[in-house]
Amino acid sequence: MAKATDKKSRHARGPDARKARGILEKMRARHRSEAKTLTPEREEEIIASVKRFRNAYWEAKFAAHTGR
Amino acid sequence: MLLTPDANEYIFAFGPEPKASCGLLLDAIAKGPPCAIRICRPTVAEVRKHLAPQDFRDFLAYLQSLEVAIDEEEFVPYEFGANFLARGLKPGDAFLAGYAEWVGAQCLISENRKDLVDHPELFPFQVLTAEAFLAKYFR
Repeated sequence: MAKATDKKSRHARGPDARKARGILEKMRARHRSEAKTLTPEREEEIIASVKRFRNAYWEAKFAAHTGR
Repeated sequence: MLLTPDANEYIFAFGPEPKASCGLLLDAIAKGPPCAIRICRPTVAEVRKHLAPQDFRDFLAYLQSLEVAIDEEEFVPYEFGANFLARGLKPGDAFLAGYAEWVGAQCLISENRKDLVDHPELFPFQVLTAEAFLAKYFR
């Protein structure tokens, strides 16, 4: 009976926020051993890379849609 | 508050070179209300392209734990993106902005200042960096 109540209350809370935080913490623990630092140059590089990937994909999609 | 974080937020939070503000943003989202997120398939593809497999698995597990469904791009009406394309945004940013508008997001969060954050006049919702968002709503 107690188990059923626990299950019900867990469902009532909806998304498992504790699990989400656990995933973030576990991932951070793994990365701590690698000890890499994000430099402003590297940050720009990653943002530019995302932009290139995204624009190449959507340029073709929009062109196909408009028939140009 | 409904948020649509850009791919770079997840990349900086889950990648091996973390940016503190992006990690704190995901922490704030994980705490549940008042923040909730929506994400579309192309953003997931962008994150996948830029993360190692283990980090990408963590990212998917994070979304699953928050019961965030991935929206397929086919459901986003073309006109939403085209509106932003007409305002001068690049195709990729235009789709993301159109998607944010379509889902009714109050805030698009991105680290891309040059094309998004520095042009708030182009958007009917807030466009902030993770740091600015946290400063505005969590401090």
